[in-house]
Amino acid sequence: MLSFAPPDTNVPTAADSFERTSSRDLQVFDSQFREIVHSSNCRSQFLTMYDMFKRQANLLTQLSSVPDDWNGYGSPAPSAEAIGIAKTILNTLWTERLLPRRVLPSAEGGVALVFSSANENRAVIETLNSNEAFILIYDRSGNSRTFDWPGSRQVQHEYLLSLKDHLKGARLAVA
Amino acid sequence: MPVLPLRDSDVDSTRAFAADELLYRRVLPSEELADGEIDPTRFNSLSFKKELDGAPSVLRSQFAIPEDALHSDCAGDKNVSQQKVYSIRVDELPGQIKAQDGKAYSVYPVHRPLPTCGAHSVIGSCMAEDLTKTYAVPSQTARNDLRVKLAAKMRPVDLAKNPAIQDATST
Repeated sequence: MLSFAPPDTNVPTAADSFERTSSRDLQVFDSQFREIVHSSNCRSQFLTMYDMFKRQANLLTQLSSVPDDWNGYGSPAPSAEAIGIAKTILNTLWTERLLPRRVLPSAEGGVALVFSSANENRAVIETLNSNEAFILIYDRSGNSRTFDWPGSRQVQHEYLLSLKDHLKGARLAVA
Repeated sequence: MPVLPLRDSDVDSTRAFAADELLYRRVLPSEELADGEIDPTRFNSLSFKKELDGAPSVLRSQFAIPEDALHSDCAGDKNVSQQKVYSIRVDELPGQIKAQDGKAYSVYPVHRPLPTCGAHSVIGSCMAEDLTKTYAVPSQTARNDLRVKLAAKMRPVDLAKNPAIQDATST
């Protein structure tokens, strides 16, 4: 004699069937549950990155209080213009989901957005007090390439894709 | 008793740099990446745009101990005692740097003593083919090449293990 009685469909119950994997309701629930967990993870990563972006934006603002000769080597404080350009670039980096590891005053006078990776490839985006801005990609063997920060959004996107590839370990093409 | 850095009157600035001589430079601890790595933006090339005396400053080991780099006399009277000291050998300086437009520059140390810091030197540059070694302003890409090469070779100095300091402080 069967001990199982089909549940009333209007009453929640833990017991469903001896063949749970074949239950259509459970399959739907499982699918929905996986979607929720997945979106939850994505949201968490997004928020983590967003927090980092906000922190870096705050750090950029704080650079306005760095004094002249902050390193004892006569380096000038980052100018308001250099900080402003760096903020614009940081916003662009955020839209590309590519954030620097460090935001520092540059010894040359300006702002340095410093990128590192698990491999030997590195990069810096520097905005100088002269209002110049460039991307410097390099490796720890001393090879480097410099690209002026482009005005075109499309070219910025292409350069940042190259920067991502570089940080993933792409070999540096040295002129 | 702390040892003062040598004054300009204590040093012979005509003495040639030895290949194995070390050049010392300060770095803020907060600027270090992992494992003593530093990024190229730690080197000022502000001076590159002006004159030789503004080129990246270092102290030459023939007239300095690493700790001198942390002395206010060698830091424009600033308290930099919490900073770290990095070094590079003279023969590790890139002999030549190249701009992306093809122009080549020679890079070499120049002893430029300051009144309270006799070991003060700079990393100067000139056009590669210029035998007179007249200071030349490298282009931005050449400066970046130099800064990357310096960052790749600079190593942190372990002050606690430095025999030069022990020798100097024991005398």
